[in-house]
Amino acid sequence: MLVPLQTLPGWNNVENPSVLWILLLALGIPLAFGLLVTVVGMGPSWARSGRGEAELEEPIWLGAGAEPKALPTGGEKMTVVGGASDRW
Amino acid sequence: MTAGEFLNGNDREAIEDALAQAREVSGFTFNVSFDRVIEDPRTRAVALHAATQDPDNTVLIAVDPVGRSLEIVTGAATQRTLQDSECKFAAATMVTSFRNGDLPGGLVQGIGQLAESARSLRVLHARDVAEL
Repeated sequence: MLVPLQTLPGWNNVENPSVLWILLLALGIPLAFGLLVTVVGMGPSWARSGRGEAELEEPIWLGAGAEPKALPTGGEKMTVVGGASDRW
Repeated sequence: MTAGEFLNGNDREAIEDALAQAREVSGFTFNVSFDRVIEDPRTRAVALHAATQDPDNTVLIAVDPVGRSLEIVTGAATQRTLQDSECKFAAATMVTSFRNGDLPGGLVQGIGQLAESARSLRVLHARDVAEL
């Protein structure tokens, strides 16, 4: 062993760190930093997704033309329609 | 939750801009509906589309943010240039953003994609039938 695992002569005597202190340095601080980065990075996305969870009290209609008030009940003539459906 | 809390002013403005631009690009009317749908979302969206002022020339995007469903409904005229496969592609684009919690961004992107697909291409190498 090139360097003895002890305080060199002339240096202040240093106590061995406790297991708790080693765990804090090796795991606690990196985990806390990782958590902080995750919250800062994903926070806005989480906030936006949280907005959709609550009930929607009133419908929103966007675009030209007024929102249709009365929907066809089935007896009216429906135009040919296409499109797509998806879920998330 | 009120509409104002669900979509803020900037979100609404961005979507309205995208809808206006889509209309300009394609010549069709684009509408977005946010509503909580209890019954079958497709049936509801088709009925809503049929009740618009000009269903044949309207593309309706119906979103239920609570039930997490998306419906794109095209009319008879819009179907000629906007194929169902293109609608599915746009829906997939929107749903990808919705999954990340970005409803307004997904809608703006999807509306733009639909408008580009709905734009009828000018045929420069052939004369109009009316001219013959």
